Amino acid sequence: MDLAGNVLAGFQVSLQPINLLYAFFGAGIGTLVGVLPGIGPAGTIALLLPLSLGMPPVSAIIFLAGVYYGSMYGGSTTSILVNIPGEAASVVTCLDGYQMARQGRAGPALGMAAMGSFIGATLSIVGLMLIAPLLAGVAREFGAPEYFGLVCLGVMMLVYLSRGSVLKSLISAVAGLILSFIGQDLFTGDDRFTFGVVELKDGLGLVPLFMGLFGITEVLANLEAPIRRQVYDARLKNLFPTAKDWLDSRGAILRGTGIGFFLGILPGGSAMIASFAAYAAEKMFSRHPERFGTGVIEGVAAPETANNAAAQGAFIPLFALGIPPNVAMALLLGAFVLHGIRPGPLMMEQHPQIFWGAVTSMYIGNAMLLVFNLPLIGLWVRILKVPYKMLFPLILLFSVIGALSVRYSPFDVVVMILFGAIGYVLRKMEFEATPLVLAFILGPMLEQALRQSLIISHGSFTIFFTRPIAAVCLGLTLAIVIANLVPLLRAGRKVIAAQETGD
Amino acid sequence: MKARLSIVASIVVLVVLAVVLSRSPLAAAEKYPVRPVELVMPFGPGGSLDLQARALAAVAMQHLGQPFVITMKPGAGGTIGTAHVARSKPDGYTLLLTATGPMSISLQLEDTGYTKDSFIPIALLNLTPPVVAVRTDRPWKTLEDLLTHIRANPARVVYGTTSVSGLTNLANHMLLQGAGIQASLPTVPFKSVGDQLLSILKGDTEYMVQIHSGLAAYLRSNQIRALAVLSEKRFPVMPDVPTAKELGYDVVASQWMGVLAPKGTSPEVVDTIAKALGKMVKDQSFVTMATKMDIPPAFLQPAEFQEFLEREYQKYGVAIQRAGLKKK
Repeated sequence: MDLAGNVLAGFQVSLQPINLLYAFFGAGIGTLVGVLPGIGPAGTIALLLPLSLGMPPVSAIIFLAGVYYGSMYGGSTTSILVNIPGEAASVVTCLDGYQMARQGRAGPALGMAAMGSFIGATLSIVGLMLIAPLLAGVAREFGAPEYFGLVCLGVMMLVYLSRGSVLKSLISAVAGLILSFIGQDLFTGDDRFTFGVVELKDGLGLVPLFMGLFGITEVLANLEAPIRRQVYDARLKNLFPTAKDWLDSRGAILRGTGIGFFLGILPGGSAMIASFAAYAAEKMFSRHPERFGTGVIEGVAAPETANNAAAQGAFIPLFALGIPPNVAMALLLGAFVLHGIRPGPLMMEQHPQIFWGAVTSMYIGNAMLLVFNLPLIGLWVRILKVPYKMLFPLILLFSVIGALSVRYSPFDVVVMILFGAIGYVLRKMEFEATPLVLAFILGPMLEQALRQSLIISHGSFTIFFTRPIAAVCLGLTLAIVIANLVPLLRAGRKVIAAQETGD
Repeated sequence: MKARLSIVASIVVLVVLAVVLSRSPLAAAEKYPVRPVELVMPFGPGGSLDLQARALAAVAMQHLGQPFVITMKPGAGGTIGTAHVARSKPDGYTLLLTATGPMSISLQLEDTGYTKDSFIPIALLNLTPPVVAVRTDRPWKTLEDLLTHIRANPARVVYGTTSVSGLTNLANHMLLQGAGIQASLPTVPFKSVGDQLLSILKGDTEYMVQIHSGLAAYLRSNQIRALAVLSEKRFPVMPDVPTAKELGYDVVASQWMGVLAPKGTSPEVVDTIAKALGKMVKDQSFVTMATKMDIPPAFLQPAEFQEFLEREYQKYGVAIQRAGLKKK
């Protein structure tokens, strides 16, 4: 009842011409930042923060929020076209997106990414409006044991991400885990595997690592066979997803929205994890999981929908609790603070025009993004026609700038080049880089949550069974292990599948 | 196609030029400052030091005659950026905005590549005290209640911190030692104040010691209760909360922020910057921003700041020894 009035009041704020303009500029800058690998939304918001000080508070939030969700649109572009994720949240989009581009279907892939993003984001905003106050409670239920359960579940899903041999992806994941040990131990303050290198105290950077493994490796691998490109130049006519694409993707988009929204709300959950989870889920639900990674449209729709849904969901803990779930949100919190507003339980009462104005502007911003992203597809696709001799140096240049921009450290450039070489060797030996990156991200979360839980419980493992959310997650993890390991069960599943298709 | 490519190429060239130019500004100095001054901020984006740097940059031009260009150099608890400035040319064009951790604590724990004598203090900008806090519905109404609870349950009370070798954890050690509690508590480290707060609100950890500005919103909305503030005098932002000192525990700590220059910077330059900073922290727009951040400005001149730093160094040195966080 109150909701309608609030939404209306919100639109009165967000539809003011000046705020429309800010939403447009924010989303536009975000898209650009998303397209450029290495330059992330967090760094951009930091740069734009001083600029926003001169704006009225609502406009500043509308503008900076636009940069954040706008970047989720752009991130898929380079993933699909050149196999370099524009954002961390688009890493998994490379798997099928780039294969689609190789088959001459870059247009439908980009189109589906944009449409999925729009649907995921707008549905997520509805969720944000309806249940921001209620869901704040759910986020609060997540303590260390719950995270441990959730991450365990995520690690098990990792197995589904791999294309090739299970053994090789396990080896790759373990390598990622070992790499994640590098750096200062949060619990004792001791250095682990830093060998006295100061730059390693905070661990290896995620950005140089994945730009090396995905970007540099891709360039190296393509240098071997430069002629292949010509093949799909000719077939770039169909720029939009076909009816069959839509049919194939509808489940992925709906599930991606749900997964993204939920993972976005959790503190510590991020658009990146959401995209991995959605891809893994789609592979599980699919009737042809073996075709994932060869260029199926669901493999693009799921992660791109999920990361946008998560990006919108991430506003919930910030708005409702005042707790930023990621760095970009932490910067947005900074922007609020500089304007004298504390996000949190009191904000919706004290500054309703800011909350509702910002939320409704996200609708408008997403609609704008869709409108100007669809026509851009034709332009992006033409980048594929740029000859390799021009494209590769540019990719390398942007990669170096990107690695450098994280903390202005030449060390990170060295790390990136090193992992480019490692990635090339891994690819030659048919190891997947994705499990490595995922383990690198999830490993520290797993370790922290485990150790935190055990300190809280005074060393007792029962904490994982007495807390319901943790118990359910660990139960599901166990179920996946059993389903995979017991051949009898697997055989049984095949029989059922055969019966279904037989009917 | 060619045209588009040349646009891309020229953008790249512009970006590279911009980076190069901002790094090596045109040389030669007449009367300091003749070009923008680089202010190195050794922590990540969005933190209170970052916001402070941006608030300073907003008023630098009118009081210094040149803008502050903020360079973020995060890593290893602020020591990477701090070491970078220690190695920089002492010409007044590279300054450091730093805080308690890198200047008074980290360098006593490990080899950071600089000592307290690698810098010339210019000005202290603010001091914010740590607060001992619990969830509002917990039965402990005073600091004494909490300490009694800890004494009654030795090594059972779970405490959350954001850095085991950081300022707030040292302050907690100092408090427990002052109260004669020898047993070490189960200590859960968190990556951020947000996580630390969530565990307090959820009830997984029982109490916390954290800098006031990070907790201000939660104190105001009455979700957590401040039992004591660890400052010399009561903190003006919350005058009702007693200091630990007046409750009989002589524990004083603070998160301070200040500007320093590399050793060898000329006294004239230091004086010029100190005077300008003195005006900046009184600038109405800076005061407004600082107040909104819950970090009220304070100010110490170079000489006073030098003495202050000396005392801080000694104080945390003793605390580190007693806490058993040995110097390497």
